[in-house]
Amino acid sequence: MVIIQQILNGLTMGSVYALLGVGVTVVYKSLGLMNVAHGDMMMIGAFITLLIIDLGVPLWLAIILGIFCAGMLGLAMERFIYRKVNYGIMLNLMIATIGMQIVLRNAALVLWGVEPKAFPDMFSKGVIHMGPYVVAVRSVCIIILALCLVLLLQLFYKKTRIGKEMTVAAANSTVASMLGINVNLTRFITFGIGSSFAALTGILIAPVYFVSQNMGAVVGVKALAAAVIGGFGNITGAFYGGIILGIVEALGGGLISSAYKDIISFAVMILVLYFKPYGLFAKHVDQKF
Amino acid sequence: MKKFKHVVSIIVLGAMISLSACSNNPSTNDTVAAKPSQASAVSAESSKNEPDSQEVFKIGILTALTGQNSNGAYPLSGAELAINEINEAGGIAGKWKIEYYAEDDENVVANSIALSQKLIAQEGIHALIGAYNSANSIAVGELTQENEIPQMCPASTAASVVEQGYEYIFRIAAPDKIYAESIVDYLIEQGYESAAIIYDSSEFGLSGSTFLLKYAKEIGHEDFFVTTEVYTTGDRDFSTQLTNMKGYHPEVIVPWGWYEEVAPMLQQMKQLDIDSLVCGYGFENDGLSRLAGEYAEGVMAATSFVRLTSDPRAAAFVEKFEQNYNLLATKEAVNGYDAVYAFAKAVEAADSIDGKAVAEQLHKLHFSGIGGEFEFESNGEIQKRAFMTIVEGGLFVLID
Amino acid sequence: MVKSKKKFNLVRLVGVLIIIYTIPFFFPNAYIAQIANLIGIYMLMAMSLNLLTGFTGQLSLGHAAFFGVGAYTSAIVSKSFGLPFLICLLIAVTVTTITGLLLAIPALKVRGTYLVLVTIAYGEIVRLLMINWVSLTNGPNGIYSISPVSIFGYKFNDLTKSYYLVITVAFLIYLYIKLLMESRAGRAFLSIRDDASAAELCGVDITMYKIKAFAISAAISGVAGSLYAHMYRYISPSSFSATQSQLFLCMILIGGMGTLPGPVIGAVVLTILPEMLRFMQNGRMLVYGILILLVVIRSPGGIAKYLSVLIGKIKKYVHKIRHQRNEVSSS
Repeated sequence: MVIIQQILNGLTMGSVYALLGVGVTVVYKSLGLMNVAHGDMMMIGAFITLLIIDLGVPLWLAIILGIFCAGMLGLAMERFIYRKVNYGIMLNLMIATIGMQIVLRNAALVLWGVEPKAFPDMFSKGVIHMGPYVVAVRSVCIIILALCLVLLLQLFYKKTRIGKEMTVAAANSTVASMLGINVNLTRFITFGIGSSFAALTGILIAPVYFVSQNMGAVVGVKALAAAVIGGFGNITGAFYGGIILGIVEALGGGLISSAYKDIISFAVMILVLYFKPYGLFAKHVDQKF
Repeated sequence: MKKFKHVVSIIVLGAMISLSACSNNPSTNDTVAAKPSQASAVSAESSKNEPDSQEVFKIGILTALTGQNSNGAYPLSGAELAINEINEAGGIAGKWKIEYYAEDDENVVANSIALSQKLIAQEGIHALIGAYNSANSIAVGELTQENEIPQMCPASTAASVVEQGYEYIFRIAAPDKIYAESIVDYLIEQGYESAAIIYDSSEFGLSGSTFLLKYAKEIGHEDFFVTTEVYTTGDRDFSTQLTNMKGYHPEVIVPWGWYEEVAPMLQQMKQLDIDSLVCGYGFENDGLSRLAGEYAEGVMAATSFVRLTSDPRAAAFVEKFEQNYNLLATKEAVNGYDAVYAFAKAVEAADSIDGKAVAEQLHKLHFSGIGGEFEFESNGEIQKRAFMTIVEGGLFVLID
Repeated sequence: MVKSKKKFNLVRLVGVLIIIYTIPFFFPNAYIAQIANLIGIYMLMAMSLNLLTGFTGQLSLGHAAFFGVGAYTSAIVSKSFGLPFLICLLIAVTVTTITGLLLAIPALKVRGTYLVLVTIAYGEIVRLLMINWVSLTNGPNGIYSISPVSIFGYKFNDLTKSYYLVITVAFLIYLYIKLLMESRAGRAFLSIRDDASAAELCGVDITMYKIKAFAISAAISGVAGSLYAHMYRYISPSSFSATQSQLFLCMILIGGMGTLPGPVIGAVVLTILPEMLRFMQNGRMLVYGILILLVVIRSPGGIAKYLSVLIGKIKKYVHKIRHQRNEVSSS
């Protein structure tokens, strides 16, 4: 009985990992870059939105503005920092993201301090009863939202022109340029999208987990794990990967020990990497780095 | 390649020299108070009152300001208030001016060691107030023992702090044991029959949980706690632990941890349809209501100092403290304040600022502070009373 | 010509030794001595990470785990069995090397981004074990009153004495790595970093060399960890977090990744900088982050590269002057 409840809990956390994992995958698809700072992008997005709310802007407008600003920030990061790094040497790019992570986290520390801050709730606080099991309304909303976003993203990549261009640019930038696709522009946009996704996730979880400078730390790594488990470069894979990770974690914590909950997630990730290095759902995507 | 070694050693040399150069600055009085006006009063007073023969009693304040779960601003501000009061009155017994040096260890033990080393070796402190969290205080205890510097802990509550055999460590914060016992006594008195503990995996939480279980067994209620769950500092999602606990249907949930974690826990309890009473320790801070809002109402906590007090002396302190600093007066603030006065009294009794003499006097001290009347036991432990409080309208209020 | 060059190098070597051994006389107090000790230990960690990441191209963001395993093993063995330091050191190095090999197993199969993830996860697992395996590690409270280093009865209980020990070990390891990189193994490591598939085609057994790299790197970290535990005499899980791993990476990056003096420079700079920047409190790590970005964008070779370029320019200039003077005197 407890098990089913744990699975339900896992679904909630899982959709958070899924959303973040999808954001990371979007960036990876086009840059071949695994953004270690994705979790911290989420944190900054939440803080920016909170700032806007404190200025007196109504909640829904603030959320939209917050996501927009975070997207802008992502664009700026790509244009002024990541582009300057020699794309040819992937190691440097990866290290640049690590540096960015440190900068983002500590900038938040300097600007907003250590104490967590409350965030107004955008969903009802209600609870749905399914027999002896309980699911929060907000959890259901988050799961549905995540699904919709992923579907939208798939449509974007498959049906729109820009989306198709981005897919080509991701697969082979040289060929893409020859075809007249502005590779820089696609990378630029991708980062903006990725950052917006991250900010959205941050806003969704902020009411329950509060906004603090290290809120992106552990979740960020788990998002990467989700993307990896699902198969890097595979958006739907990342989505499923996140859900699976959330459920495994909740079950592990419930059945084995809550103290070792995090260890279980990391161990699972290493195991998956060992036995299926391209992830559970991979269509074989060429590993750039 | 060899030329690089040359370069390397030049850099090392230059670094060493520059480091020794920057070791020669005395009073670095860092303050974190919202109003720094009091700090400048210290230096102003010192130049006014000081004939050249006046000695200086140097107090080091090691606290956690940044870093996870660092609420060290409270004891620091309390101590500062006391220091300014004493200096304005002419110093300790009119003879010793107090100078203080504050350092932030960011709640990292390695920093605590390095910074206390700095305070002792470089600033030459005569006494130390700190550290903030238990593990940090224990680490520093070895150094203060070696250097014969009395150390007073304003917030470390784990039992192990005074169990190391250090003679120079004194704990002015009430130990975990007292809170655990009050909580168990209160709950059983009120007729509750089952409870579950959820504690932080740090030394602080571990100590609390151990005492809760031990005491319940001692008074013959071994089955009172039906289960325990643990979480790591920094966690925000407790649905796994809460779901596990729910399966045991406890009447009370006893959290032992800091408010940053307990606040989201309260909200998640509601979402999982858990309606047990919440009564614990470690989170009596206005931050709890700030974050958890309505979910914090009705939550109980044990404390050794109630802000809304009828005692005139304590009330006066609360008013003065909150006027000068942008913080509510908590027990840690009181402890910081009392610590300074305890040191002052010991210095006066010993008629010296020598660490060994001061420590000796502290062991014999009978002191009346804002936090109550107390004496230190031979291992530095203190006896204090604990009270149960409940959240009403966002503030912790005494339960009669 | 060759003989005089060798003599010159010997002079330089002696010069370096004199400098690092006379520095302690400049220590004004125990606090500075402790920093010097820490620099030495971090030099070891940086060199260890540099071997794995800078020379062999296996980017690791979990090196604090090795550091921690070495420190904890040495501390536990020392406190539980009261064994002499050298034995504790040996055991610590052995256990750390085994953990290094454990990491190597999944690491052999993955590359690049996946490898980083594995190392991050690994680092987290080790840290969580340190906190939760209370019966072994005493949990978050850490282990205290670790006995100071004592070799054949001589106690290094003074920070100045332990400095001599630490800096000697660092110097020896530096020489070892230099010799290693000049040997066949070293060339193999570099080939793995630059183009693993090409190396494999040329017949280099990359599996064996990767394993070697992990093992040696872990072993050096084990030495560093053991020295750390007995120098600080108190260890707790908070010293071995992901932040610490990032710090080590910063050290080799800023100092110059893939060079020999790089980790040494990085360790010195990044240990002294926080002490000097203490007044900045929160802003400290922000400065680090910005430094990393600057280094990665402007000068990927780090300080070492920058200095070598600088020295090259100075040499050219001096040469030019000398040449001009010769011309003047001969005409």
